[in-house]
Amino acid sequence: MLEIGSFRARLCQGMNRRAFLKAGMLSPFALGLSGLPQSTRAAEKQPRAKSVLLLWLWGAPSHIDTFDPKPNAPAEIRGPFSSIPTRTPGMRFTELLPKLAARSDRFALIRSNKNFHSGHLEAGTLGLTGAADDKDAGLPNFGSIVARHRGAAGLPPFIAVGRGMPRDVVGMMKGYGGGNWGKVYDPFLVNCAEDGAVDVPALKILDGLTPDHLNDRRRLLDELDSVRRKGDQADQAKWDDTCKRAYALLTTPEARKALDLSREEEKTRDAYGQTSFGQSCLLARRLVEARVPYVQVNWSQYVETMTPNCDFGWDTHIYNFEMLMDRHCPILDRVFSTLLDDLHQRGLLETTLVVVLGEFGRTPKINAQASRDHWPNCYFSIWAGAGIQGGRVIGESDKIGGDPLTEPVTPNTVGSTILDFAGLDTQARAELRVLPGGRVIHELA
Amino acid sequence: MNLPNADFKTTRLTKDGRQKFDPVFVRGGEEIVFTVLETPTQMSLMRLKVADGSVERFHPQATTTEFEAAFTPDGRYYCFVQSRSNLNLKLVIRDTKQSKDAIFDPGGGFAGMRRPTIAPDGSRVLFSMADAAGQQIYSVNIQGQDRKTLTKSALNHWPAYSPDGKQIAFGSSRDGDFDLYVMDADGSNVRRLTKSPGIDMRPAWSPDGKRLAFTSNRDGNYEVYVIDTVDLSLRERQPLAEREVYGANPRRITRNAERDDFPAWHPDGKRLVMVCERAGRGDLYLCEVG
Repeated sequence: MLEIGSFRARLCQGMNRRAFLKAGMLSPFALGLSGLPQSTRAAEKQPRAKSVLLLWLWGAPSHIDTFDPKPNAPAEIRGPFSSIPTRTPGMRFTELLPKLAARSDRFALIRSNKNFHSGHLEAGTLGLTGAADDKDAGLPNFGSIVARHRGAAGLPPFIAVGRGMPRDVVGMMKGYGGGNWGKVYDPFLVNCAEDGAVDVPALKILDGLTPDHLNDRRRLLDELDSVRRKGDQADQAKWDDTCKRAYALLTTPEARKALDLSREEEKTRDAYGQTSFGQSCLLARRLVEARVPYVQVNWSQYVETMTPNCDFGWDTHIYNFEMLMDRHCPILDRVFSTLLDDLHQRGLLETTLVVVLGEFGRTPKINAQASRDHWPNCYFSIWAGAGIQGGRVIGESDKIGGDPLTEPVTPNTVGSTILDFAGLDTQARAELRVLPGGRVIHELA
Repeated sequence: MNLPNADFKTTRLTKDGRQKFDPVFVRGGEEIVFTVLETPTQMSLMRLKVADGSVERFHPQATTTEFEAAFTPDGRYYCFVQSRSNLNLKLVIRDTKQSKDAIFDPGGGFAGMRRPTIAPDGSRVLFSMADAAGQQIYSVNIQGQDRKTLTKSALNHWPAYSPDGKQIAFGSSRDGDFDLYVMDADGSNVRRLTKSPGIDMRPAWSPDGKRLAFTSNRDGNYEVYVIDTVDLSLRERQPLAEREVYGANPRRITRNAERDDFPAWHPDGKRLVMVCERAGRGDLYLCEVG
């Protein structure tokens, strides 16, 4: 069920000017075919993680109500959920995560993450770039750095799976892509619906295109040429350089195979569940299988949990407990458990670094809306695969989950560690001038 | 196909597998209104005709998230929660006879109410809403006015009027985790119904008022249970401090590794509709519990 673009768009007469310009900026597609030169060092050294898979829990999940419960804290901190034992002695989660509790031997849990901003857009940028403050908003996403280091050998080296680049109702998050390095290092965005239908939102520019067109590349490119002639002359060069490559990329057997979830066994698709996040994680596993170096799955496009036209992120300022009970945690519990099992059974977990986190945690003290607000001082992250020893807690929060008791794991540390696993050691990071002085979490080894 | 429980005959009512919530029987059991995640950004109320299985939007023109519908037995009034602005939910009470809406607005900013339910006589509407002390059960009249607070502390949720309108079952965290309680309709005389580890939630009265269906994760994942409430009329009422559990004879209705949730009684008192997750798909099932 691979779909390219929007086939029932309102653009019945060909190309919409705005969409054309948008398409003309889609230079990350160039990464897929022409590729970027792989750095010498990347060619020399086998990375510990052939692929990185980041599950980005946009909106910021409550750490206390999930992976860092405080059963002995006062009720206004503890909340209504009980804690349950996990497979790891001494490690407890809340009762909302029974499947992951049964798989705690497969991942390491960090309970001492710390961010430096309490706003989603800023903290998200820090969280995905390792910047120290939001003045460094032009820094590239970890995925962009890996893409630059690895180069491309077929599929784009940095793919984001989600409905759109992360944002809130106010605006876009800056750290989603290449930043000051340019859009050439932005992620290639694909969307995956709850039924497993995959499409490329940025290519929703032509009406009348159907998936069948992808089987006839010449016809497709002829049609694109025809459309191009209708467009603005000034944009034609960009059109040629990007969209042709994008469509050509997507007509490759490798891409078609990777993006087509209908090739999966029914029981596998069922195991992930009929949710957008579930099928997105299945798609991500296929991309890892296709040797894509960096895949970021976005839980949602918007942070807001209950807002018109937003897609139910983790920003639970109201009805935190209901949303976690009814929707978010059951989905995360099922999908991440299945992903770990699937990667393990396919032998991919040993060569894939899987990281799960949001931009920050949520307030230890329950707010006046019987919910929790933003809390950058302390939150969790989960690390699995690539030789990481599971069944361990690294770092500790205080008795109310307010602050780390151990050395904080900052976005810089997260990024440095991800890059180190992906083959960018201290020298490689220095050569690219990214994450200077970054500490690697050696406890994960 | 995995059935909720081999002990009970079960019929699958929907097959699209989309995420569903809050089913409730209307029109004497001929139809079910429920919430579905219709698009990635919108939950919508849907109407299922039990006879032919057809499903259509309950509000064809709705453009924003609406969920948790509740109806009076005669169908004159119904209410639901509507998402109108950023992290802000409003209660809509609709008079179908007068074609008129009453709105309960919790105010600006981050605010909202959940799980509304209407008294059998259509006089008042219950819902759960946060306050400085936690989350309380409130009632308003059918015009959305005359707000009264029925609980005082902790997180209180999922209010449900008994069929005679004299009692309210609800869930509360007042003793640690979520358990079920019952109180008189004016908020007095609270008695505890369940006492189990984990979450007990979403109580639903049987039409004769003698049983409550509810969801619990006491056995590891969300399953549907039924408990007798008949003791309420037999025992001398005791204050909550006694910690006596008034619910009796809990029976597990579903038994599956996946989720079973949102039970609601058919008017005949013999069947429950619920949302069951099977093979990762969420659908409505009708379970004959006798």
